[in-house]
Amino acid sequence: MNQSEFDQLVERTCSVTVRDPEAPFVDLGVDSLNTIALLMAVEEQLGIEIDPEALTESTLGSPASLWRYLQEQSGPDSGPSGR
Amino acid sequence: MLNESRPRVEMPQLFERRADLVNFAGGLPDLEVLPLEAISGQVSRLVRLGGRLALQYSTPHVAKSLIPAISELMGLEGAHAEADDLVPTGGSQMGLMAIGLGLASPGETVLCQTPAYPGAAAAFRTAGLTLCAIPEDERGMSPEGVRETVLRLRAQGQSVQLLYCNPTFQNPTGATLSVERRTRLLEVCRELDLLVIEDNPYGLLSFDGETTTTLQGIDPERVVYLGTFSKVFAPGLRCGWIAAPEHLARILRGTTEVMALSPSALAQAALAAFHARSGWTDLITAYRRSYQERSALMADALEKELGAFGPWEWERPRGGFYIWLRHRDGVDTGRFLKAASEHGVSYVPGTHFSIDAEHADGLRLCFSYVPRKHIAEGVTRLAKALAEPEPLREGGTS
Repeated sequence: MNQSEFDQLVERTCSVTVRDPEAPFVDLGVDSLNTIALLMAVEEQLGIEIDPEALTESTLGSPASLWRYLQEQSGPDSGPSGR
Repeated sequence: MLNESRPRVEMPQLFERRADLVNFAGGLPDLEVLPLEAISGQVSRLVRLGGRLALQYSTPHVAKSLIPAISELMGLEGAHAEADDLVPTGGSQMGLMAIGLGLASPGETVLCQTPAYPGAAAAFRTAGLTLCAIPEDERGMSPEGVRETVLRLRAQGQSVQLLYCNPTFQNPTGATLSVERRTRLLEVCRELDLLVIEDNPYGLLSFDGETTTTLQGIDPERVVYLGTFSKVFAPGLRCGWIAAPEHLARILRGTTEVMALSPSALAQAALAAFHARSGWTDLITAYRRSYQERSALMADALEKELGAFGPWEWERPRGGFYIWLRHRDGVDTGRFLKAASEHGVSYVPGTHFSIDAEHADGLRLCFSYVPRKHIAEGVTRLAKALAEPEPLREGGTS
């Protein structure tokens, strides 16, 4: 998965349009329960388990920041892969 | 007494459980079809990832993540609502109470389809409203009857602004109003400036998968629509919604906030997660099949036990939860309750669905919840009970 594919997951899960992945979730119209739905979808699609205690406001700030966090969690060379 | 001006309103006790009782009374869904393992996994993940938010108070809005689930359900019956038109409820009973309190004033008259869903009658009465039956003909609610009734009541000085109905697989009759009749009814309501309260818990539960366009779908500006997840998912989450024109949704949002402070974010998020993963089609199809099968078992047993030419008349349902029996000679079905209890079967007598002592000759049987293997036995017990009316008291009626 890459940023563009991740943006599509955000769009599908949150019923929004992501034109700029750096745009804050709040500006995209993604509310906090929507963000949880997104994290659930991410876990399910990517076959990973997210540590909710490690998530910060900045991590959850935008599609780009969340994608960067997920990549960091899975190691420097490989992005999270689907199951 | 704190409130002597309002009559004490009692809800029928429908959910009694007794080991030896075949309960045809309570309108419970068949939760055998729920995919519990999948739901358990989703709820577990939801609480782990977002429990601190989902278990917190929230504002009286339908969560954005739940809106696609509601849009899909409403769309299946030709209805549509924007996010600003939606108000979350803890099930339609709360919605009815909110409507009674928020959109009417005590003393007003509400037109009501009868035999009436007792929960609606109880809610409106608790809100201090008076009920008046909508005239019917062989095709259901009569638009011309509505006009005559409203004009008569208004000429008497009564305020009439609301019309309540359950037009698809009605509780308790199972009847569905035709689209032609719906359209005409809405025309008359527009002419009389009546707001229609459309209660639609069973609309998606046809046995053949067909749906009938909702009143809200025909005239969304004239209708306050009550939707619920209780019959297409499960009632235990206590989660439903009102779809209303935005200016009315704003009022109802305020009323529901006074009633409950906050909807359950957890319930909304759990439903949203289920829908995002599974959609509605499989679960609704499973519910339809289950009810079709149970309905057929009950209808076959009734044909066998009561026959087509006896004192009881009824129709095979095409959807919903219920079969409505009527005694051709108008015998009060309350007279069979004692025998039914002795034989170990329960039903709801017609008077529970009356708003002015009418429909005593009817009784409601619910097929949705009784285990399949007990349905025929229950009907056999019922047939015995229906042959043993309590004697009339002196001076009593039929």
